[in-house]
Amino acid sequence: MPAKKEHAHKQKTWYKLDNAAKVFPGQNSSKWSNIYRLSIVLKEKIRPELLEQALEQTLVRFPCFDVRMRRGFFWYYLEKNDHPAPPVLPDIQNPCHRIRWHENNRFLFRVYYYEGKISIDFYHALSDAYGASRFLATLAAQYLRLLGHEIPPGESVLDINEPASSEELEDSFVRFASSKAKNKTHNSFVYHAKGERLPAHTMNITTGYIPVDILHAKAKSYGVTITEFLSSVLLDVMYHKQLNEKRKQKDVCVQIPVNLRNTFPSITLRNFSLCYSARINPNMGEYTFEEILRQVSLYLRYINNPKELNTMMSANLKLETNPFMRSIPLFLKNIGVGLAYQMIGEKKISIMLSNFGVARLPAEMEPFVERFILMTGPGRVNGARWAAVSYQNTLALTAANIYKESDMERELFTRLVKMGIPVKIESNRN
Amino acid sequence: MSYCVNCGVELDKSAKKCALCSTPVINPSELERYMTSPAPYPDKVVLPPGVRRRYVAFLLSMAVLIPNIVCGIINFLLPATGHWAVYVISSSALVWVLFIQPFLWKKAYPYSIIAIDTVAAALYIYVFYAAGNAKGWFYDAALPLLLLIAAMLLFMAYWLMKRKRDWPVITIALLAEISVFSICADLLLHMFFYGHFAVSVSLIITASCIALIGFFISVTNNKRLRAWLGRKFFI
Repeated sequence: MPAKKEHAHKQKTWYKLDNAAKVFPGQNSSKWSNIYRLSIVLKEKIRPELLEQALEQTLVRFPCFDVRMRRGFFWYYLEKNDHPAPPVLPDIQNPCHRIRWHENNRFLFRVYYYEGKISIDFYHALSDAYGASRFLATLAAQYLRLLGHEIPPGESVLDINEPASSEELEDSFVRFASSKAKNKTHNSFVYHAKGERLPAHTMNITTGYIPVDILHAKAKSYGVTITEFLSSVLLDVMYHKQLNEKRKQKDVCVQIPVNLRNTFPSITLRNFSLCYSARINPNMGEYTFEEILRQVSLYLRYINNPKELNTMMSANLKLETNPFMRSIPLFLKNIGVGLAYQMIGEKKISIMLSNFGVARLPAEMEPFVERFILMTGPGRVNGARWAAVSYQNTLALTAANIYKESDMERELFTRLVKMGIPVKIESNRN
Repeated sequence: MSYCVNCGVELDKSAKKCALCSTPVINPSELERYMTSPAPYPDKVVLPPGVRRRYVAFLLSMAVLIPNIVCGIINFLLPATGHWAVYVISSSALVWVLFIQPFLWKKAYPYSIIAIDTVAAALYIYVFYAAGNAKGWFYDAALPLLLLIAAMLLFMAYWLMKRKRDWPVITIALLAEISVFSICADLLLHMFFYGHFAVSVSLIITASCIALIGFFISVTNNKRLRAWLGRKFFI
């Protein structure tokens, strides 16, 4: 049969991991992987058989998600997955647990449903929250189409009848990194809030729903953006927690991922983000909330420019393209990355806040969608990692915490309430 | 809608307590609401499967077995080269018993594992004893010391399994065992070499252990010091 023969000789599609993704497999351990979750909450209960069908149809449009992880001699790479789709699973209380290459039909993302919520746990080597939002929105739109609704493509929803463009599949770091300047990094270890650890693979999830207009007005009254405002509140909470512990004071540092597509003209569905960190040094003296706000906002505005970002990007790319680094066999690279992450990876940041921004959908889809929720998996050392996403007038701010204590979450949300910002809480602790 | 009287945040319809401070929020006039509203997350916790220990241990056993068989065959075909394969095979067998065999068990049985390890170590030492010319050292020194180590390990296993122990207390017990072992070893070795009981080097080890035991006793009584050590040396 010639058709079959032709198929057999066809080369499998494969992709190199993008520059940001290269470190994630090396960081994997038996208890932790870099996973985040994006959820969309629809107004009606999910029908799993239709979701499964929608998933198979959507995956065709996203070849960079329709992949499995393979080991090369020098690097990992992504190869087209032979399975049609991962299984659609009933949701669980402990998402974002570690990944194994051979599980889940070898896909690098897991799809869950619960009541009206579709949640996807993405392995970070696949994509950042931008690509994930495109995938989830397109999946939800296709699901709604199967229910009989007319949903046109637009905003975050991609046209599943169109093939993926090469720009969507590119490693944009390679295209845009061009700086020759040296990147300056802070090397000091910083404060970490500690507590009693929950059993492995479990975590406390707390989501606060906040009206965007009120939050925006409050941030505006201080002359800052929502990200700057929330980062400052987090820093202030951590700063006071450390002061109350009566210990040697270390820097307190909040890491903020930034979507580089806002600065560079890229539409890639793979990773294209960087992290920068704002910090305060308590040894310099006492800080008021206003001082922290000013420091954070000035720093973020100073650093968030194409030249600084390009320099950070280029420094990362130089590591990847260094002939010595390239020639190290993969198993040695894995050991090196794993050790480096364990020893210094999270020790330079106290907390992370990832603000995705506004999730936008076509007007025809909006009546069916209640909200979005973004959650980053907890760190190995950082007790709580925070993530936010806005949809219409609701900002969902989620903390995933590996410690039993919820004092950080309580302090942050009650502080917002005291500022006159109403917060609605939901959690996996029933 | 319910609000937490403590935190001031609005709570989910299904919430029976505040997620931030655990304050109960049951409203007696709205009991039905708690029953009918779905919780924001399901109750089901799914723990991912762990490493396939027994499978990995089996693969490692095979990896250890193959070179030993090869050594045995070569030695059998070349008898003029001596009985060198006995040393290779017995060393590999000891490594297998100590480090691979415990993972082949479905459940960990510490007493059995310690007993097997002791027998394996005794046999391994006996191979060298039988092959050498010196007489008496196996029964007079090596075996008693080995049995002493086994007895101490058995006691430690029993003591640790009885109830959960705090890390400073475990450290104190370990230091005490080290000093007892050093004194016994000193006495036995003096008896074997010089024909009378005496102690020498073990006094320095015991004195150091007693000083450290004193430090860890103070750690158990000093909460601030314990917290500082916990912060500094967490793994």
